[in-house]
Amino acid sequence: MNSLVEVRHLSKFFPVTGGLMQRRIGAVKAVNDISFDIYKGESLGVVGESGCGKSTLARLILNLIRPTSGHVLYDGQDVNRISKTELRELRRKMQMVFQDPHSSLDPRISIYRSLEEVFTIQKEKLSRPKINERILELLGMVGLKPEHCRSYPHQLSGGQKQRAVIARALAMLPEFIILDEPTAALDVSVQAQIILLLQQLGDQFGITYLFISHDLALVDYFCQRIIVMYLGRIVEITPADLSRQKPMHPYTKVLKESVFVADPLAEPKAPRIEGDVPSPFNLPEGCVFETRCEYAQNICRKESPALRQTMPGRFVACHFPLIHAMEDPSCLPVDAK
Amino acid sequence: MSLLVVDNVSVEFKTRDGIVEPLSGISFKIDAGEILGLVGETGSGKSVTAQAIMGLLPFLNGRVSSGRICFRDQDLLAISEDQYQKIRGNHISLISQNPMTSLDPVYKVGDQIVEGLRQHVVIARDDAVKRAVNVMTSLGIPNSEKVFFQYPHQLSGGLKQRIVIAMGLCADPHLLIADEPTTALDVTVQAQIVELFRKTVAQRNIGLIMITHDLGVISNLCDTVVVMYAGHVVEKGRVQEVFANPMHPYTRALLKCIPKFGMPERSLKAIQGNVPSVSTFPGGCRYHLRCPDMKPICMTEAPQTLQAGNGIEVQCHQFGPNWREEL
Amino acid sequence: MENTTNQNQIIPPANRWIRRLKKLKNNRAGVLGLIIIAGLIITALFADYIAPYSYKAQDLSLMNIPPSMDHIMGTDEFGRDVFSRIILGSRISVYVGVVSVGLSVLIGSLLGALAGYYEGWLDRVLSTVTDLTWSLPEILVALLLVAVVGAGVECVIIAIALTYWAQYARLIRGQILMLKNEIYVEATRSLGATDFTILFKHLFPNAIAPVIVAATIGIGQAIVLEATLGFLGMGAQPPLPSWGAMMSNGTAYLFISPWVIIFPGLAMMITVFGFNLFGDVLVDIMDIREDTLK
Repeated sequence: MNSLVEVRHLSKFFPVTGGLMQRRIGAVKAVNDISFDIYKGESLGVVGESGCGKSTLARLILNLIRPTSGHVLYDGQDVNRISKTELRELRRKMQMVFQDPHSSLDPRISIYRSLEEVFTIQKEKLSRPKINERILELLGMVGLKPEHCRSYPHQLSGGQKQRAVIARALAMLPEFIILDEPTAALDVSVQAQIILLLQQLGDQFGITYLFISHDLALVDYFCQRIIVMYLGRIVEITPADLSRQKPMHPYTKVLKESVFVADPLAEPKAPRIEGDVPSPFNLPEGCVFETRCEYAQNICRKESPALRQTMPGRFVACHFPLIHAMEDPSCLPVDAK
Repeated sequence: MSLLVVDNVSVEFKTRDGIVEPLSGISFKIDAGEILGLVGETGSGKSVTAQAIMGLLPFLNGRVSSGRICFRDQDLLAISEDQYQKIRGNHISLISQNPMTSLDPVYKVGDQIVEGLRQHVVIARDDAVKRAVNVMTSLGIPNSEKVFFQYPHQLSGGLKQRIVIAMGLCADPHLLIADEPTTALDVTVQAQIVELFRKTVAQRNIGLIMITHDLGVISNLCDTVVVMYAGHVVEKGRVQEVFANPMHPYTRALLKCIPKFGMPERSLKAIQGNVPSVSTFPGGCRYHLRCPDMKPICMTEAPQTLQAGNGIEVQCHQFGPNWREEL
Repeated sequence: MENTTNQNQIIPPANRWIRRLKKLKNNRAGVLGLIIIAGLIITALFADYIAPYSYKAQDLSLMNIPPSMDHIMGTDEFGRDVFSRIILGSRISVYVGVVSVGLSVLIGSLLGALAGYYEGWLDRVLSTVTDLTWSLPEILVALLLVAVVGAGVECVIIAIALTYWAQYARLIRGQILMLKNEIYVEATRSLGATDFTILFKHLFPNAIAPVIVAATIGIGQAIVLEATLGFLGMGAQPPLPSWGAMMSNGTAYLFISPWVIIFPGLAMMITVFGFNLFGDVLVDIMDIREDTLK
């Protein structure tokens, strides 16, 4: 499979200052040395709880913030080491849909102007009728009516706003779109509409998606592969369809079992795990999950496990994965292949 | 005797463009030891229901226009504001949506619990502190004595939500209303809080109204479920019955549009159209614009509440006498 | 997906100023404010035609006569018509108020926007300058300027512009700091927009509303300040009729001819009142989200 995006040893630390002189007293390791590939045409899910660094990761890939170390290669091109013109060129190919449609659109600008602006920014010199035609086409693609282009964001419902945001992202016909919790702020019945729309657009235009969410069931449904993050690290990369795939990392197992299923026959279950996600400021020395892991041993407190391949297509960062790896020489660190 | 009976309650709001009715004739009841789930989307009126029960409708422009709300055989709509004040917080507690904002950042959490308690109960400060620490411990807050003296920003989201619940429970209420108490929490913490509610209700034999949009939480926690849409109760009944055999087209569609594990690819079904806001509620059955089974009668006549055999009450013409004639 | 085949149905949205004016119609205080301001501007523009006498025509035989049919606001100690002088004086008031506040809004919003958008050292430097400026008393600056360049209307304008910009800078900096965390800013950047586009096409229009409101009220204050400086003899020089200077001259004859001081005072009061009324209403009008609050 061809990789569209390669992430290599990517880290982002946010300095924490304190005291009278605002001296630097430490760092929040939002994204901590992670590596993975996004293949052309796939939908890759990133799932994790608050503070796991999934949104920071999205912004790093888009070069909206600069990494502390590491690289993001898009089609072999390092997104952090390119000129301004090249970056604008790149922005046509990669787009992002943000979590909250209510603040993703400038409240003072009508939908028409919002869409028109994309062409201005990308210096597409189009005639007025041509622009109108494109905007009409975009609105149709996302299921909005032509008269919606006259509306201001506050006149639209949440679902309609998110459709407008998607139209904006589609304007340059990108090949890669990052979806950062695109349905988290929407009603349940509207969430399904947006998910179906994104899937249909993905099929139609062959778009590669990076789908970020805290909702494991949703990610499992939408994606072919899932990355599970915890406190800035990747703990597992697994093919989707978790009803059949057994999780290898204890955290993935907990996450899966914590999802409430709307099924009256499901037994009420005891919580799988105690306590909260620790603050990313004071990371445990060893494995990030050690403080809440029921299988933690001494080595987990001392040594941070590397992400390694245990089976074809499956990676886990755990000293004691739940499914024991076949004794296989392919159990190599992810970036050594 | 039911703990709380909401009988045919309608609520009106005065707005600049006239009067709107976010709640129209809703009814349900809840007994002690029961957990009732109130489920609905934006504008369904589930939060207005909580406000109406608590007597906290916007003072100048909101009012209960008809119906009865009876709490332990006392008509809450007939009593004075002073009497209401005694019931509110003392016998009925509300836990609001966001734990991050329902605590005052400048006071220690313990003091906030104690202050809340002493507004309702005549109790010496020392006793109040003891009681607060006890409640905190019973809610699984580790080192309650230490947490008592901490400020909200020093606590994690899960702990904050436990503190908010402690505030609600401290005065020993008979009825707890929780408005989306798990929405702002992480998945793993949400499971803990749900378990906490289950235990608390069983131990104290209180009633709990759980307001949420999360059908998974309802299915796991609640005994009965009330499904609301655009200010109407469209379906209610035992959770097992409703989720196994949903009758109303809205409930059926809602259950199909949540992704579940093991769902085959492309099997998600969306509900068409948008959630109506209170000023755009359609006439007739309020769901008819989005309903796949819509018939002409749905546009003109609001459906009656009908009893089904398995204890489900449903508001849909499909099950009424007029349906067949039209076929 | 219906209707996508037919011709361009796209019509750019209706002008929001028309909607705003409609909204203003329902607000009596705002209409009153607007009428006062419009009246003032018309008076200033057509002062020469409105004033029945020349502002500097002296007639010592008509000294200090009380209001009458000929001189509806009486005459001053040189026998000049007070009404004509007030009409002419409105020019100076409007000129000083609008130009000085306009200048300070320009300086303030530019510096404030830069400070808020870029933060870092630029913000620290600009904020320090802003805070220092804010602590300067306007009258002191004016005194200093008078000492250097001599008294005059321009001196008043510069003094006001030099001291007033700080409040607008602070206001817009706070707005920008808040607004730049909005997702649409990040979304626009991810489309490839430059800092310039983001700052001036998205942040600035969203941040400017409270500044315009503050500026409206600021114009009123500037008119009072001009009068104060005129009263102290530092504003417009005689025979130019500034309201402040008129009142200042009138003090000597307070008990003989109180009209000389009362009428300019009233004119100023009404003007400031008009600007304040209008400023309050602007808050509502400028908020686009109000449009559909039903």
